Amino acid sequence: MRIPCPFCGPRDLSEFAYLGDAAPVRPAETSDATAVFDYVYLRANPAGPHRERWYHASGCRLWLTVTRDTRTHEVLFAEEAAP
Amino acid sequence: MVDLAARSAFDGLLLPIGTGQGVTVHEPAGLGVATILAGPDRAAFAARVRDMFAATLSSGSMHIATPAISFLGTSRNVWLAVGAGGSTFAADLARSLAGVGEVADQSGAYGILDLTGPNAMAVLAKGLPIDLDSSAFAEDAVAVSHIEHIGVIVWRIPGGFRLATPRSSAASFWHWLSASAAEYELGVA
Repeated sequence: MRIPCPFCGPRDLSEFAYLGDAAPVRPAETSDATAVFDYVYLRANPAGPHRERWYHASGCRLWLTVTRDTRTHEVLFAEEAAP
Repeated sequence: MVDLAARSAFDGLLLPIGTGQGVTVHEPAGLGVATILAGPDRAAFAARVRDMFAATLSSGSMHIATPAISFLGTSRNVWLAVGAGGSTFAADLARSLAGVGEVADQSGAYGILDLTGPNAMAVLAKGLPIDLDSSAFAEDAVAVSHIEHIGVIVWRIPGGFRLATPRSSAASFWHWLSASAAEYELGVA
């Protein structure tokens, strides 16, 4: 699997570290326990395109948001993650 | 008081395996290495670099060579600078970029090796997950990657490639290089 890093170009999977699903957003401090539970533990498991965070650890050390098809591992899109 | 003598990263490690007909390794002496982080005023930074070094740094993994310094794009608004000057290189660079960018001396952090010869690319192909063919790795390209879990920065020089790798892993890196280049009669220049 190769990931098209927006800075370095297409790079081998071995250069990257996987964080996980890009969708969860940290709930506000005033949120109840259910919202925190969902944020920490609940993840979708789609068969198809999935947005996820990858870290280019051996390259430019940028965090990326990668859209990957979980059925084929085809990388559809990669962009620098918003800070 | 103890006097400390400067030692290069690969001092005592580079022993020839063969005649050097396929690939030759050389550790250039007297180089200084520094990282540059552009300040928030990107236009002022670019203008200063243009004025001081006659170089236009683009955002990308590209190698911009001037007679004095090689600028290697390693990340967004970050460059590795390599040039002559040894221990004063980073301080001189910091003075030149004062107020527009941050400079950190890395001269003691990296070992530099030049790998040249007709089989230099074949040797690197054994460990580097980067296609170094000219169709994929342009003349001004830079690759920040790894070999055998050791970080390495690779760019082209006439007849081969220059590698920057962490000094603390010099012995391990040499182990990989000497084993990988043995079949090509690795020589030391």
